[in-house]
Amino acid sequence: MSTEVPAEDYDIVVFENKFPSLQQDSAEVTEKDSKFFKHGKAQGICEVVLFTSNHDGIMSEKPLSRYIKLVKVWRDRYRELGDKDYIDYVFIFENKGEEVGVTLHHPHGQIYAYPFIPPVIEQELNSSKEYLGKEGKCLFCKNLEEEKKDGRRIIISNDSFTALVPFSASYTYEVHIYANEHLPSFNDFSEKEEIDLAAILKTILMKFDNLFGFALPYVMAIHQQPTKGTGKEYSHFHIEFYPPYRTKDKLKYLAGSEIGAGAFINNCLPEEKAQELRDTPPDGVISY
Amino acid sequence: MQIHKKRIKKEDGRYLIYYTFTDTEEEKEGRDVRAEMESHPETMDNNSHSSTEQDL
Repeated sequence: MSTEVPAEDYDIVVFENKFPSLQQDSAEVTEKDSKFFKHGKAQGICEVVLFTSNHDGIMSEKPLSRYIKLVKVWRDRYRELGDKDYIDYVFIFENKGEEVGVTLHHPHGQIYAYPFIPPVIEQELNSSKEYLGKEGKCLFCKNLEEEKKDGRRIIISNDSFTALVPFSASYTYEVHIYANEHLPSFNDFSEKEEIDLAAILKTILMKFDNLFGFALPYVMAIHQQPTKGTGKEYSHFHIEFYPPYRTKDKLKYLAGSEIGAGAFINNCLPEEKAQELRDTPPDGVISY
Repeated sequence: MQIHKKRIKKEDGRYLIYYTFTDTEEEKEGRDVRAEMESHPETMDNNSHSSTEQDL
């Protein structure tokens, strides 16, 4: 990172990715479309977010204030990138650990600002839109209502957010954090919600790292409203964590059923995994 | 906590943004109260949490 950031000490830094998949000034498409194959410009923005200047830092050991700062930066990036006319979706994510292909150990995340709504998110939004049309309620609000009624898969909650292992978990320790109220995106957050999100994030990361006694790798994805302003009624802010470990020393591999058929095999009950995460320290949500 | 940003252009043309943060007057006051309470732990209830790390 010393070659990327011309300062040794800093708080949080964001910079354009050196090897971006999408570029602001992307090349014009020169190939002509056929009746079957269509082309499009790879226009967008890819950013790297350094969470701290501490190269070997472990995020779960960082104080709550660092998470609050990070949430503020994420909100700012969502706003700034989403304001660009060629951007449809600002996707904030983190790949953590060698097990998910990361070679850079410095605590960092990434942001892809796409000129379209990515397919997984589009499908999710379409399902929520359809449910809203049929039942008159946001699918995520309903899902959270049912999860709270059942209670067995809930790990922790505070005034603004609830963390749970979803009913249809694809990964053993998959965790979702949902806004308790219908918050479509970072643009709708209050200051209290910033702090509450930071608190529940820190608590979940502490639980993850205490689970097996090592920094648990994961893929983290933040899902929220597309930035063109559509879908306010059916977009619901949430964060999804996908840790690849299914036991302390066994990884979950995507194989025939998952890759070839799109059917995830999970041989664990989400209720049991939620209990395990509830029993893993710390108890309750860290508070300010 | 207030957020500030300073944008620079790197030699290769890419941008880089430094984010910094300052406490509001209210937060500074709250921090002073917390520090005061922590120096008198007998006044804290059992549910109070505090971090000993520097950048809280």
